[in-house]
Amino acid sequence: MRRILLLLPLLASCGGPALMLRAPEETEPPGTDEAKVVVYRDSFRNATKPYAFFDDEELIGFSETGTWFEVRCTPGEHFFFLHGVSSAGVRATLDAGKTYFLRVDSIPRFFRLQLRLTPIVPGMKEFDGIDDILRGLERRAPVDTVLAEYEEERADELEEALARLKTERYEDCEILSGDAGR
Amino acid sequence: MKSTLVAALILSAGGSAWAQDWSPLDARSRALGGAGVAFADGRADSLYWNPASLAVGSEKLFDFSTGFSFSLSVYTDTHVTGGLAADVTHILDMYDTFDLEALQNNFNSATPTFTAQDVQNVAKVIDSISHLAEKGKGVLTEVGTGFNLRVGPFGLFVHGQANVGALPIVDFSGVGFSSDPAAFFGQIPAAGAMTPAASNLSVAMQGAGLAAGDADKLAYQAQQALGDAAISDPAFINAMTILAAGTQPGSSNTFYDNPSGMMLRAVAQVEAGISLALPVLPTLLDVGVSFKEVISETSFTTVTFADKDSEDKLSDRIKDDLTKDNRKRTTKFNMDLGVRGTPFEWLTLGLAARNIIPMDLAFAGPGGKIHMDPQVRFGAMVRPINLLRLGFDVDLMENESPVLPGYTIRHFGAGAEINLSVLKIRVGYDDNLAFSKDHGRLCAGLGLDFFGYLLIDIGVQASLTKTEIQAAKVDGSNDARTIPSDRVSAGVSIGVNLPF
Repeated sequence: MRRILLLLPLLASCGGPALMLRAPEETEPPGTDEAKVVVYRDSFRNATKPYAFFDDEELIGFSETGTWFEVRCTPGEHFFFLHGVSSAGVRATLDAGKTYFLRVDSIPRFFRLQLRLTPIVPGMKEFDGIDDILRGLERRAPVDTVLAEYEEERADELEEALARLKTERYEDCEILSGDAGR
Repeated sequence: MKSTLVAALILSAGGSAWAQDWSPLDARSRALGGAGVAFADGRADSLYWNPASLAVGSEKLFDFSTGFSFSLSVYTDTHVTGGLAADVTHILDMYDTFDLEALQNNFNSATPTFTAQDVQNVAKVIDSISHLAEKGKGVLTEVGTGFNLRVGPFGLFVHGQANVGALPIVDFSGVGFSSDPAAFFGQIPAAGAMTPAASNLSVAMQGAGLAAGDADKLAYQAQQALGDAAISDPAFINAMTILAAGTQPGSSNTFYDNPSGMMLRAVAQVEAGISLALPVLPTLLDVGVSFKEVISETSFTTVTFADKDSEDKLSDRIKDDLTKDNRKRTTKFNMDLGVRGTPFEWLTLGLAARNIIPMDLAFAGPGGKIHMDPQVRFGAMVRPINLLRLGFDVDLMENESPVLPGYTIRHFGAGAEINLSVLKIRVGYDDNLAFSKDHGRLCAGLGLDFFGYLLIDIGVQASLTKTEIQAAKVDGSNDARTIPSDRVSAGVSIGVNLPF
């Protein structure tokens, strides 16, 4: 019995293969020559599915339920792109030294789930309480080998999805303006 | 077809019906109090509870990214209802101790030598047998196994479940105290002072044809043996009245040969089929259906109390009856339906209907058929924090067991699952709302989830109510034997999950 009890913590610590690794909660503010984008997913709908997050064609990480990760970008224009069963995009203009927030979730449509990438901007309830929201989530960091493997396996699919979003649904994509950071 | 199915569901949701207990096939649900509809979350074995659960994780129609999984489960369940075991052993003990076979010969003799005590002993036997007829009293045993395969939104399954019910039979029809009534009543001592209860019993037996003096003698001895309360019981009065009516000169059917005893009714079912789930509004509303062929084998046998003195090998006859002579097979098509909704991230609701097409199964025993109605069950599960799930299931209708007529079932079960990644700790409570003499069962179990690929679950249930399985010997040589639970069950499952 004692052996079993000793094994419990070990068993509880094991888990499935990870797309993203746990990272320290502490994070530095963005430097004067960069902007920071925090991508978080606090919705537990369809919790098992991770969604790939891109800065244009570059895969940055995977958004998993109950987690957040950060991206440090050059100031200026960016097109953030979320891909899974469907795609969603955000047209962003980032100012140096500011931190921006994007929420990942989904909307059930008839026989299909529509992914959603929502800028959290001043005036929204979530913007004011963003620190509390992030405290309730785990910070994650990408694994380079996993990113590379994913991009290689799905290159054609990703290229097609990004092109479709930029051509057919570009106007539908949310806008993240430079003053929406903090 | 569609309107027939809807009508069947509406009709079945109203009141009592005939159906087997919707037992937990998998060890996880067994540990969670049988709350399988509530906790059906897309594991392969959850299609047994709600085919809509095959759409869990689906983000689009025919989404195969939810992966491949299968599970194998086995379980056993034993249930003594209403203290039957002790009653039966008590009667058999009285047959032995009172040497009822020899006593009956004495009762039938033209020159009987039995005593008043012998008559009182027979009254005790009649009293014990007459009380076996309480509604729902019996023994239920069940074993089952299941194989479930999930490939994306599709499921394939084979479930096998065998139920045996031991049902007491109380039957004194056409049976009398003696084949020589004149000598029999002549040997019974004259009645003493009659209590009102004894007089009442005597009047009832006179109504069945006994002379007043003879009825008084019997009623007086019964009162001396059992007291006023026992001989005022309608079941006892009814038994004595029937025996009085059957006490005819030359009758070859005497009390010792009464057909009372036990009937074993068995239903074994194998259902095999396919399931499909559609994410109507992915992550919000899923529907599912299972199409299946149900192969049912029914059989029965009866064992009288006098059979224990038979020179034939009783076990061979029971085996032959159940496996060959009284065996009938029926094959029917049927369907299960399910709906699963997640209105809030923390709340899941499920509604499942099993065997929605009523079935009549061929049966060689009384009635000539066993009827099986649809079952409808609702389940709800909440997740107050990420590590914890709480849920319950409740049958929306009351069912009467086809293997133990009189035993009604309306399941309520609740459970909690603590998810520690690899280790799942489960506890639950299971009760039958339809049968007041049933006792709630505590449930517990563990699950091991190795890297999300290999799942091993165990689950047990036990009531905490002691039950007498053997009555104290009439001659005082042995005390009653009691076990700590009147219902126990256990199950184990093993499953594999492979993502695509």
